[in-house]
Amino acid sequence: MTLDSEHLIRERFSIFVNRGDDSDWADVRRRAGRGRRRSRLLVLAVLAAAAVAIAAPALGLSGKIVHLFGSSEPAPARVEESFASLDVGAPPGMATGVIAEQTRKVLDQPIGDEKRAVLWIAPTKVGGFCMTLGLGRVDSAPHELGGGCDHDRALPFSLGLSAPGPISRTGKVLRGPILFSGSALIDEGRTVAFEFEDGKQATVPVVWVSEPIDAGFFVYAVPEEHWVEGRRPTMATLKDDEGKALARQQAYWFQFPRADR
Amino acid sequence: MDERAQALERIYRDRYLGFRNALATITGDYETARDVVQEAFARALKSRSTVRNEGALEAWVWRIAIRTALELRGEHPSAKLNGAIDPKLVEPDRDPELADALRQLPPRRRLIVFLRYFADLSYDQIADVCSISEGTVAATLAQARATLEETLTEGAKP
Repeated sequence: MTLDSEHLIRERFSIFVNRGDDSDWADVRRRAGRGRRRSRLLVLAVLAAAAVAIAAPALGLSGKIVHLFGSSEPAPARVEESFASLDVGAPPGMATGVIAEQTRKVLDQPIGDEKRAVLWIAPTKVGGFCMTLGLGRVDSAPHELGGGCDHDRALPFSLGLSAPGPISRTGKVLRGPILFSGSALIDEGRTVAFEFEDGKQATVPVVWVSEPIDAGFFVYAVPEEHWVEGRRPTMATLKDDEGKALARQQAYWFQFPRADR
Repeated sequence: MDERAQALERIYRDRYLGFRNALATITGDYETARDVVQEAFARALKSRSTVRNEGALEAWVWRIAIRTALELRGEHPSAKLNGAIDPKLVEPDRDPELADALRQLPPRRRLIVFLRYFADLSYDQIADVCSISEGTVAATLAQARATLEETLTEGAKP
C-alpha cells in the first residue's frame, strides 16, 4: 500500500472518524449563560448546589437575581456621552475601551426620602465593564455621582463610596445620602453584608447582569444612624447563598489628611 | 442573537464532529471531548465581543478548545502547543499499523495531522490555531505524510 496522496491518507484515517452526532447547541447557550466553567467533572458539585437552591426558600436564603442586560432600558444620551468621554484623550494603554452606545440602566433602587439610586453599566471591548451611579428624586431624572471601570475583569469584588452632599473636614456627613456601590465577579455571590463599628450588620442583594456584562452589582444607602463615629461601616463581605464569605473589602469612610482639616 | 453569535452557531452546527473527534485525540475519549467542545463554544460565546479578526473565528474557537482540553487534563492552559500536547488515536486497535506509524511522529506534528484529517482544517486555519506560518504547516504535513508512507510501506513488506 502507498500513501502518496492526500486522498489515500484521508481514506486511511476515515475508519477512525466517529460519526455519532451528540451535538447540542442549547447546552452551549446554557453553559454560556453561567458565570464559570461547569464540566461533566463538576456534575456532583452542581447537583449539590441545586439542592441548596431548592431548599433556599425554606431556609430563608436568597437566590440569584439576574437582570437581562440586552432588554434593559438604554441610558439617556447624557450618560452615554459621559461614558464616551472616558477614553477621550486617554494616554496610550489607559483607555477603558468602553462601548458607550451600549450603556444600560441595570438597577433603579429607592433609597428613602423619595430618592432613588440608579446604576448604569456599559461593556468594554475586552469583556469588562464601566459603571456609574446616579441619584435623583423618584419623579425626576437622576444625575451622575461618578463611577469606575473594571475594563478587563480584574476585580473579583470592588467597593466604592459616594456622597453627593457636603462632608466636613473631620468626616462628618452634613447631608446624605451616603452610598456604597460595587461589583462582583465571583459567580456564587448573592449578597453583600456590611458590618458597622457598633457590631450591627446590614445585607443587600447582589443583582447579576447577564452577558456581555456577566457580573453582579449592588447599591447600599448607609442609614443616617451609621454616619456617626462609633457606628460607621467597617467592612463589606460578599457572601454566597449559604452565607459563606467569598471576598471582603474594608469599607473606608471619608478620611481627610490632617493638614486638610 | 447578534451576528457573531450566529456565526459561532453555524460553525458549531457545521463542524461539531470535527471538533469532537480531533479533541478526543487530546482528551483520550469522546465523552470528555464532547464536554470540551460544549465548554469551548460556551466560552467563545461569552467572549465573542473580544474577537478582533472575524475571518479567523473558527481558529479562535479551536485555540479556546485546545486550551480547555489541556485544562481538563490538568495542564497549564498557557502551555505551548509544541510541548504540552501529546495527541493519540482514541481507538488505535481499528488500525494498529497506522496507530504505530502516528506514534512515531513528534507530538506537534501529530497534532497538525489530526487537525488536518479529523478536524478537516485548511492549512491557513491550522497555521492560525498553532500560531505558525502556513508554509510551516505545509512542510510539516508533507514531512508527516512522507514518514507515514515510509512506515506503513515498510510495515506492509513481507
